[in-house]
Amino acid sequence: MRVRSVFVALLALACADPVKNAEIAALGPEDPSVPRGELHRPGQPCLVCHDDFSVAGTIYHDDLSTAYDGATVTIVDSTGSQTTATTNSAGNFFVRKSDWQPTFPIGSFTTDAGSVTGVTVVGDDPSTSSLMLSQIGRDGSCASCHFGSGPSTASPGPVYVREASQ
Amino acid sequence: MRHALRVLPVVVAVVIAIGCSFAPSDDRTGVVGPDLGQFETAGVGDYLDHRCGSLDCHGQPTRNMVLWGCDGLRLDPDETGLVPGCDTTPTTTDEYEASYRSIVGLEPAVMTQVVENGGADPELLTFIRKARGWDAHKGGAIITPGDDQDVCLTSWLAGNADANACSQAQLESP
Repeated sequence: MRVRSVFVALLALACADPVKNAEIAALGPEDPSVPRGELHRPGQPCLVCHDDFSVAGTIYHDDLSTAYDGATVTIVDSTGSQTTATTNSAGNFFVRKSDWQPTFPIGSFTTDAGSVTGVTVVGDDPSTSSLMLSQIGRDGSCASCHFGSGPSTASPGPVYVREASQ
Repeated sequence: MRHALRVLPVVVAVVIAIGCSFAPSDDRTGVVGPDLGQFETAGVGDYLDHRCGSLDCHGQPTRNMVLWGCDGLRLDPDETGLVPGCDTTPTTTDEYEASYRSIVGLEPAVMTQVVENGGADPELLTFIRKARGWDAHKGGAIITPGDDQDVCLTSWLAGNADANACSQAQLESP
């Protein structure tokens, strides 16, 4: 009985971050047609819940709504350390902290190893790539900044692969 | 009574004239800030926008020291369609001025003291201490005393912004 009380108290404390709880609540419910897993909640800020991810996001075609399956995302941090991930059928990609942890900021810099670009996204046509020239200060969720269905004053809109015709 | 009605428009006109004759806001608050022109032309604003004003940091409208510019949050009260991205629309003069006011308005009295003393003791300013990591800063220690980023800011506070340092500050790895 006593153990159970302690357990309940600990559970309550663990859920007592009102800011985080509000962020999670703001994401809304799961799509009932998509099981929980690596295909769920495309376009949402993954790291709000996934504390074990260092960087994660969703990539779209240039219509800004169709998921891009198979895009290659390369991320280089401020030390020149890099990682690569590939998007799944929902357009989602993620990098676990256990595999790579960036030293922020991620951006375009001149390092000892030469010039680096923070984020590069390449689709089926390797001659086309989308480069992120601005900086990520500390948030590994793409959708924290890339939100909404299109660009606005506070967001560049979804991350997309630049198609060959552009 | 008739006399009072005749005088009333004159009184109203005088009151309106007095109401419109207050000094500009900067004079009223007595802030002595670093040079606004240098903030734009020497690249101080561009450096801050690029390195501090990303949308996950000071480019968030809910943060202290909000920064506006093409690398982050856009200032577009007339809804002309400004969106993040320096390849589409560069930072506007209104955005430079808004960011300038955001910085100067943080600690107007301390800013006045530093600027009036020719930029001496810039670490009196919280935004310098935070950038150096001397005060708690969620973004960590961004600059090191004497590096290009630091020189960009401190030379601006001293009245002679180092455009070369500000330019380099955008490119160098932290």
